[in-house]
Parts: sequence; C-alpha cells; structure tokens
Amino acid sequence: MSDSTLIASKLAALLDRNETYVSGARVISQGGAPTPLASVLTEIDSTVLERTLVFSIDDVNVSMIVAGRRLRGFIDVSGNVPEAASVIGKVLSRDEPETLQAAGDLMMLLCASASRVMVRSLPARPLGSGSDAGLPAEGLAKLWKIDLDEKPAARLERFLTANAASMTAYIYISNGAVAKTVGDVATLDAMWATQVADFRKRQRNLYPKQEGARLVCLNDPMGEGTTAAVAFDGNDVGLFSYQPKSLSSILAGWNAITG
Amino acid sequence: MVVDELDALQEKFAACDTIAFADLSTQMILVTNSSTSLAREGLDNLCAEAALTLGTKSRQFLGVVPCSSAVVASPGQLRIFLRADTEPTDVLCCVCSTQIDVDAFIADARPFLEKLSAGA
Repeated sequence: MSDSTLIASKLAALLDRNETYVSGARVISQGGAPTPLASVLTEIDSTVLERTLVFSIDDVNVSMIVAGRRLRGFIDVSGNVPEAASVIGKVLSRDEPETLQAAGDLMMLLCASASRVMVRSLPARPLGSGSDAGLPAEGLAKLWKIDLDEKPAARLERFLTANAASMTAYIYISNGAVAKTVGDVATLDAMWATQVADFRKRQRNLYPKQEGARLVCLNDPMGEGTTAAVAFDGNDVGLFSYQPKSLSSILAGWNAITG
Repeated sequence: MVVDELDALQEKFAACDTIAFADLSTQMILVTNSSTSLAREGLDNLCAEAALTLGTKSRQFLGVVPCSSAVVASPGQLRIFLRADTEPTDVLCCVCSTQIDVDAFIADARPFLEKLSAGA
C-alpha cells in the first residue's frame, strides 16, 4: 500500500468513527451520555502508549498520565478545586488507598453533573518512576463502583433529573406510559391526559420539516404566577412546572442535553 | 416608525433574527424588523405558533387561560412569544439563536411591546 493510500485509508477510518471535535478536543460525553466518568475510564482503557490525557470536564481541565491502559496519576487540575490537592503529583497505587479514594471522589465530583467531557492526548510528562505502573481502568471502575457498560438514561429523563432543582414537579412519560413523577403533578397529569397529544400534532403540522427535540415553556397557563413546560424527544415526553426565575437555566440545561 | 424601533431592538440582540408584532385576533403579522430572514409563509407559521402556545381568547391548547409568554426551544433555535398586558391580542413573536440572553431580551422586549400595543 502506498503512503498516500495508507493515509487515505486511515483518514477514512477516522471519519467513520463519527467523532466530534471542539477546538481540537474530542467530545467523549455530551449531555450525560455516555456516563461522564465511565467515558473517562474508557479513554484510559484505550490508551496503550504513555500519554498525558487532558480531560475537559465542562470548564475544568484534568491532566492525567496514562500508559498501558492504566492511570498512573494526576498532574494538574485547573481552576480552584481544593479536592485536587491531595492527588496531584502522586502515583496511584493500591498501597495508597487514601489517595485512590481521593482521586475517585475528585472524579465523581467533577463528573457528577458534567454536561460535556472532551479529551486531548498530549505527550507524556514525568510522574513517578518507571516501576510505578498505576491502576488499570477496570480496577478503578471496581474501586469507584462505576459500571463501564451502564446504559445512560434516556435524554429527556436525564434532562429532568439534572434540572430537578429548578422544577417544582415533573412527569416523565416513556413510550406513552408514565415512568416517573416527582412532586404534585395533578395539573401536569391533566394536561398530559387531555391536551399534549393535540398540541404536539398541531405543532408538527406547523413545522413538518423540523425534526428533533422540542421544549415549550409557558408562563401563567393556569393563572397568574403559574408555569408549565412540555418537552418532546422521540417517544418520550416530559411535563414540568418550574420557578419562573429559572427559565434561562432550564433552557441552558436543555441545550446542554440536546445540543 | 415601528420598524425602526423593531430594528433597534433586534440590533441590540444580535442573536435575534426576527421580531414581529402580531395581532392574534386576526392571526396576522402586522410588522417585522427589516432584516428578518423569514418569508411570508415562515411569518404565518410563527404567528400560528404564537396562537398555539400562548392560546387565544377562545381556546387554550396547553393550560386553562391564555399565557403571558412562551418560549419554544427547537434544535439551534428559540422562539419567544410575549403577550401585551393591556391588549391581550397583541403579541411579539421573536426568532433567536440559542445564544440569546433570554432574561435580558424579555426585560427589554416586554416594555417595548406594551408601548407598541398602546400605540405610543
């Protein structure tokens, strides 16, 4: 195979992977799917040669030394993250259970509600000695109780769960059946039973060519001071009431999940 | 002129493409900003969506009373609908990108709509 053919086939293989890059970083988790921490561990598991992996977890950059599908340790965490102090510069080892747990706590803290995780692979930097192997991704998953094969919840369910603090009540409906309710949902339930199907049909008729998820937020639909919102995503529907002052954060959360 | 005022509001919020003043009783767009990218059919749909989401005097499609405002998010786009307090059939229909500062926009657009609705 000629050099140019080889390059072309490698480029084609890369394109086939349907990956998304933002400013040179590869997106590995968007809107909670795949699960942010599982996606980080999967990247570690895929890294054979010694590299510095820089994970951008929303606005925090976490730099790790990874080799042989093992995490050797953390070399930097950007911003003001006090929890990082006890792990930066230390080689991870089963002989140091406190450091291991602190590393797990740090990653769980950063990944808990991360809307986007990206990764860049950079040349390795020195950490520890040649005999310091670190821990394999699978071992870390067991220690930190992370299921690497866990299927993420549906997008709409993740949106409702992630933004529950801004909501006063919500109903999640999957494939036509109520799957989850939180708070006093009597009004939302009545809306679901009597109005939502007709509303959706009419809105589809207005924009027959527009595909994708929709969110409709209403002020005062049940009288002054009330709110209600309906979200559609494929066969999933969510209805919720929310704090009026939270509208912009709810819209930001929606964009993070559906964007 | 009303168009100049619509243009001024649109220029202040670059993420906003279309600002249209409409009458829900006739379901007609009365005037838009001069640089809107929407053609007549798009404006008609926008007005119909305002009636669907905000509700009209005769019918609510979501809720039991006409809404004072509504925001519809679809991929890459927000549509914001505001109803005038003094004349409930007067509405402002806006098409924006998702980058818009919704709170700041509504804070400016609400008094603008009331002024427009009062004919000031």
